[in-house]
Amino acid sequence: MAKEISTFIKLQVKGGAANPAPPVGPALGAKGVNIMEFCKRFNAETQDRAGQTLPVVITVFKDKSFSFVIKTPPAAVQLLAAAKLKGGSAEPNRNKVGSVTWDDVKAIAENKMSDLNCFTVESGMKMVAGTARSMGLTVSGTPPWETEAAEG
Amino acid sequence: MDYYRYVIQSAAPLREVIIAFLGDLPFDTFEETETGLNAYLRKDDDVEAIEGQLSDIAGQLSFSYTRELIPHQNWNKVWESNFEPIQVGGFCGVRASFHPPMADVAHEIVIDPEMAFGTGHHETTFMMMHQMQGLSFEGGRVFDYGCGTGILAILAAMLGAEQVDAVDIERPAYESTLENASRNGVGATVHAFFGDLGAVPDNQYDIVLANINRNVILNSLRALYERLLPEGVLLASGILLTDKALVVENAESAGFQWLAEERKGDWACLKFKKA
Repeated sequence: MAKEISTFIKLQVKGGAANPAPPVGPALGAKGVNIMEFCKRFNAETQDRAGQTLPVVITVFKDKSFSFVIKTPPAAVQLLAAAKLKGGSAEPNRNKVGSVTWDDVKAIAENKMSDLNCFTVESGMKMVAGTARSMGLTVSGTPPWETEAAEG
Repeated sequence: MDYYRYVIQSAAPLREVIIAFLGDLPFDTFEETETGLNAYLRKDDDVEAIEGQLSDIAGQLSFSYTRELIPHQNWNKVWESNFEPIQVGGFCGVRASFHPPMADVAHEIVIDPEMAFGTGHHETTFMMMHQMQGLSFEGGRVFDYGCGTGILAILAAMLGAEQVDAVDIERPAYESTLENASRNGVGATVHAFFGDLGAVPDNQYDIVLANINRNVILNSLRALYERLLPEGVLLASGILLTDKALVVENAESAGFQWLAEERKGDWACLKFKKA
């Protein structure tokens, strides 16, 4: 029989860096979960993604056990990382000096497809590009679908 | 450690953008709520400067926030007040100070964890203790790398080690090791240090115990090799089975000879010798 669920907890934690401080401590501790066990497991599973902000959804069961699912970093976090690699200051809105390419946008959209509420890479790219604009990042170049239309 | 909680009100689409920018500041963990998200900052960080940057970002992205003080407390208290004693066969047992003494174990360790790792319940700690049963500690010098509650350092002292150095990068763990070593009557043998490997005197050891994680172990293999005496033993855990091959390969490159492994659940405990 499936275990009875007590609650879901949504956190964003840097890979390899979970510790019993807030918010992990209060969120899990209040439910009687062994916080240190979660930290050990989460950190072990994210050794390849150390330092990346990772969304994690924790299911706490009535018997005080838990399970969790780690998702890919938010599109905004990936966009900021891509802009930094290109040397942009990437300050939100104030200075539109940060930029990413459509190749960056495509890579992020493909990486996030399972989390994005869309069916095609192109629609995912449009969502990611929208996030980029809300961050003050310019997407340099021409969208691939416009290039294809021009060539067609 | 006291923390500040910043309660941020924002629409859902903006939350990941806020997380991206605040993640660049010393905010490293976020909690999603129905109305926005909570971000946390250590009270001893440079709060004034960070709040200046937070205020700039809030202005640019148009969100509001309030700040609350979260005083330090033992967040693991509920679990710690209910945990059951654990036994590694008849070799050793671990209990909290509120449990009655254990009659049928050769070595009894009393641990009050206070948010530090290491009560014997986790597969990795259990295997480390089990592997320690097969080693000779009598009169030896031991190093517990990433000591948590100090459980392994305490067991090493109980098994006859002459000196045990123990270090942890987390202050609650360092303090927990001091308290638990004293509680178990081995405070004179166990020397706790706060920090990374550099915080430990440059001693040579017969045995190194390292229940940490893959990356720390990989990055420390050569340093641990240098600190071991010839024929010295390294017991390493905190390693998932999927990472075992990588650790073994790197350990052998660093000069270690792989002697044995133990598995429990998804975890591995590896035994090496300084070749």
